[in-house]
Amino acid sequence: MEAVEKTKKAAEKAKEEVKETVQDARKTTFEQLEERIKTIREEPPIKHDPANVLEVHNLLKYFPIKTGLFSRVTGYVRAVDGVSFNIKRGTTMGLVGESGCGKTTVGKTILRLTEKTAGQVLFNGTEIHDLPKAELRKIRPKIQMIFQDPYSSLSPRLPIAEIIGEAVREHNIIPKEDMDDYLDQVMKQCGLQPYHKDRYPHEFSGGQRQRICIARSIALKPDFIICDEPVSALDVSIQAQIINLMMDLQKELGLTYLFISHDLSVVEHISDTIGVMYLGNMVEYADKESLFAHPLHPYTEALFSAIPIPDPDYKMNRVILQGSIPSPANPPAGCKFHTRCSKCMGICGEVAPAAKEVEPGHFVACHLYD
Amino acid sequence: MAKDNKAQEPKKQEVLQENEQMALDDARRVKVLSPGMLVFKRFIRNKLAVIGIIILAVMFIFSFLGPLFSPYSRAQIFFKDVEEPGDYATGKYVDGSLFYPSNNTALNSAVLKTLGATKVAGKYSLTAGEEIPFAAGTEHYTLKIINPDPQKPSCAVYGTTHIATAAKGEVTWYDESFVDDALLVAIRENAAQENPGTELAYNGMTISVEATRLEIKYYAPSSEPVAVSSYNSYSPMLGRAEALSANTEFLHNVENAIKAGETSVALDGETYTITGDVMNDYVLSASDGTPLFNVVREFQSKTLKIEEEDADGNPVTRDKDFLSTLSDPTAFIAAVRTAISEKAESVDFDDNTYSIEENDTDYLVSNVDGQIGMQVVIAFDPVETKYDSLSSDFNFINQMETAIAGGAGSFEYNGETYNLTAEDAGYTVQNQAGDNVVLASNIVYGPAKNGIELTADFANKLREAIVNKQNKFSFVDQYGDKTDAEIELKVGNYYVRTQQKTSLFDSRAPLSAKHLLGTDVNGMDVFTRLMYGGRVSLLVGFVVVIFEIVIGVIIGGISGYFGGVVDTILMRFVELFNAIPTYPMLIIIGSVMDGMRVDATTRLFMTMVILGVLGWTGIARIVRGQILSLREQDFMVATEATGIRTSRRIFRHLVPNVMPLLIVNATSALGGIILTEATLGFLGLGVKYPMASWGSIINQVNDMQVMQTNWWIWIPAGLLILLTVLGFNFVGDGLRDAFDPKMKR
Repeated sequence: MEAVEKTKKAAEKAKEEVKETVQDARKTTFEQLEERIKTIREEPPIKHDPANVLEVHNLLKYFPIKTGLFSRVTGYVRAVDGVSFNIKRGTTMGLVGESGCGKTTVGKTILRLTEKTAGQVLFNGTEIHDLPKAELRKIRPKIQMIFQDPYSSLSPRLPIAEIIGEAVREHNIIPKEDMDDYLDQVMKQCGLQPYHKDRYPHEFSGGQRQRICIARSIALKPDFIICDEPVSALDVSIQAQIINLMMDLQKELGLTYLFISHDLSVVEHISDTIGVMYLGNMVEYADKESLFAHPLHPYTEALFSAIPIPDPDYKMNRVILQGSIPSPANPPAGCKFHTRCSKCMGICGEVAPAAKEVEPGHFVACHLYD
Repeated sequence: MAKDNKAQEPKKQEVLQENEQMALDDARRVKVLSPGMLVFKRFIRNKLAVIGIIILAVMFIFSFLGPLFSPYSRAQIFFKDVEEPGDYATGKYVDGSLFYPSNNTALNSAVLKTLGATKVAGKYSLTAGEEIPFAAGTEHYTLKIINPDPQKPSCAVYGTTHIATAAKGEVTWYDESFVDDALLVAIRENAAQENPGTELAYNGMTISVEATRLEIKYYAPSSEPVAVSSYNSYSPMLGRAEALSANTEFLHNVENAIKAGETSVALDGETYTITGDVMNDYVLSASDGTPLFNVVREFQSKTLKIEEEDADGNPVTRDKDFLSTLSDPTAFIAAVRTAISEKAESVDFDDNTYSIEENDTDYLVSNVDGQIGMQVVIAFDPVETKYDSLSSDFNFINQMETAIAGGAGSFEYNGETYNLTAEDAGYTVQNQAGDNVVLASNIVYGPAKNGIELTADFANKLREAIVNKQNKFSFVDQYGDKTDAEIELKVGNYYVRTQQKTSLFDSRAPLSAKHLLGTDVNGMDVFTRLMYGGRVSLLVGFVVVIFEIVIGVIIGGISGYFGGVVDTILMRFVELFNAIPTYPMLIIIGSVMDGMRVDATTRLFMTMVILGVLGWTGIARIVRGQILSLREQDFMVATEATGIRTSRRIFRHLVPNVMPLLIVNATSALGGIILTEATLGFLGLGVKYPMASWGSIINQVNDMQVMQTNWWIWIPAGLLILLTVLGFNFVGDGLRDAFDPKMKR
């Protein structure tokens, strides 16, 4: 039986490959990409809505592919390929998608840890990527990031107090004499004990380390925190603790989160709005309720059908995606998802779909809704 | 039972509760140590690391503090005085005719030839007073036989005076004092003959004739001899001084008297007076006022070992005569004399201070290094008398030979009567006062070396010994010391040997209290050399490692932190350096430095630079790798996200994470560098004399004999290298473990 299935799979794979090579002829050329970058760069600045903490418009992050002796740019890895979204003050936006779809790159580009290629990133109405270095450093405490791996995100040679308080001191957020009390307070807020101060990261468990990371972020009194898969390295019980901690802190401090994850149940728990990414594109963006009630994009449907439901009697209607995610350096033409889409039409391989507001606040980029 | 259980249970619970409280109450935990203390504590817990630290501490104290307490300097060469039999004098039994003066060899051989012509059946056939004319070169002489002994004849040689020349019947006078009619007749008669012969007897005088084709020359013998040929050798005797010069005790008394400033010494009821002072020499006179000895201070200059630089600036040790190092030796000697007279213990000269040490009646003058430069001794120089010249006065010898030939007991010369006494080995001549003045002997002798003056006592004792066929005798030498001598007869010559002090390198001496680890091939103290060698070895290790760290951290740090093109270029550069073959390079540069005669300090410095230049790549790679990996770590991204300054990011986050690795690597590299330096030293390419390093000390094992018999020269240096490298490795391992926070011991 297994052998039969294997051969079947191999045959399908071969078919896929043939399909891909046929489509190669219709791939976007290098010149077209350069043209695209140019157009987006020349777009007029978007209007700032004070209700939004963050506004991202047509964000583009292409990593150049250099070849030859003189490292000439001959192509681009299109990690983020025109992503737009807004986050309202005090809300959480979830960003979901497969591994390698560009979620983390979006987060890092917003923080300007990597330079954008084109597009606009407005934080409280300020274009982050236009700020000079000194200005950027001033604004840094306002946008924080919590990393996926709590083990590598803490310097092993600094005590906890130093890790949490270093940047606070650096930016003079709290007067020196109040520093100790402030640290105690922040640590307590994050479920840490004041006597942990003198300890070193290696003396803590994963959950505690993630609390330290959170404490480091909130100690800077940020407006906005990018959480880059903060719980994926933790076991489920700890995940819940951390998620609850984050939600408590949000209520307490009025924080805004961009919550990047591939775990849909966690995202469902914490988010107000959700964006679904596929291969550098935002394919669907909606309120949590609207999205979970009726997902529109075939990729979202497939994604949601993969959520395990703790009911043995529940008959799952799984949408199984064929093949694996294509390379962002050489994505399919037209709709990037069409190679794996169960509802693929003729137009899908030709024209890339634009995002449409199908319902109020529910955007989808799919030819099905044209 | 049940009751007991019930009673125990609450107790147990209490204990449990207490335990739980203890475990839970984390706040009561012992205060967390600072990172430095933590590392220290971890390090101390490691037994091997502590052993390593102790080894290194001992090495450092040994090498850097040890030399301060060492009584010897770095390249001090030790000497040992060896008493060896050395040639002192040679003597000879004269069995052929001896000729005075002996320097005219042409005349000498002509005399021997003339005498030899009279030999019949191996014996001379001569008559007393016989006159034999002969020519030597262009000069004419007459031989007058004094003693016609067929075995040992003696004769006087007279020069001749050209009196006349006859040519074609005419006679020309040359010497007016000979103008005489009878002689003129004899010459004419002789000249008229067809064969004039070689001699012409006239009035008891033999006139020698030299006939050529054109003219005939006539020579008359002169009245004074120019030389004497005899089987005896003549030497002056010291008369009264002679007996005294053999009396060591008396001479020593004189020395002490001079030192004490006394003016008289008594011997056998007679009082001898000393006149003079330190600045001039003394004169020792007999009670009747006859001066016997000039008591002279001799300033004997010694050979110094002087370290200096040659033309190319290399240090060399040269043997130098002490006095030649002074600007004005005469003034120095005067200064020493003054110092001795003032009983001063030192003398300042040429901006240096020289110490004067009294050694019995001698004085030792030492320079600042403690090397003895000059010895001031007292020598007894017999006062010259008119009798001293008699032994070279041919007329006197002529008279004496005549007396010997005639068996007379006395003879007259210059209005004085001399008594002749036959002895075993010759004849002694006494003047009217009864003092021995001249000795005629058939034994001749002379000093074997410069600086040896043969005393009259030596001559007497040697003669006695030769006559009595003894091979040992003792005599008093020129300094009044009693000396034992041995005589060896070799090919007719008597070789006299005495025990003489020679200063030799005290090389390869075994362990002793003076040299704890003996001495090496060059006569230097091994223990002291090891201390100075350790300085060089450890210094090379540290300087090179610091050099490597500085270059390595800069290049590796730039490469790692900036990455990209900079990284690519720098890493190619590192590969370039890695491709240089280290040992061939070191050997070539070592040889080049040999060829250029680079001095020891520059050489040491160059060795450090080369080792550093060839060795930094490893550290650069480690630093680069570490920084590259750290740069990508989330905590470095977090520092950027929290807006921390670049300098703080580097020094507070990157550097502390690189340091442990760096320290560990540097510590381990130290051992390696010390080994490399030792290897270079062993190959003879490392530091050079007068510097030392452990490797160059082991280098002496190249000598097979050193390897087999003198273990103390090379084993200790090898052990020190072994221990030091082990120590560094232990400490390096200990540090690595201590720095690693995840390490649980």
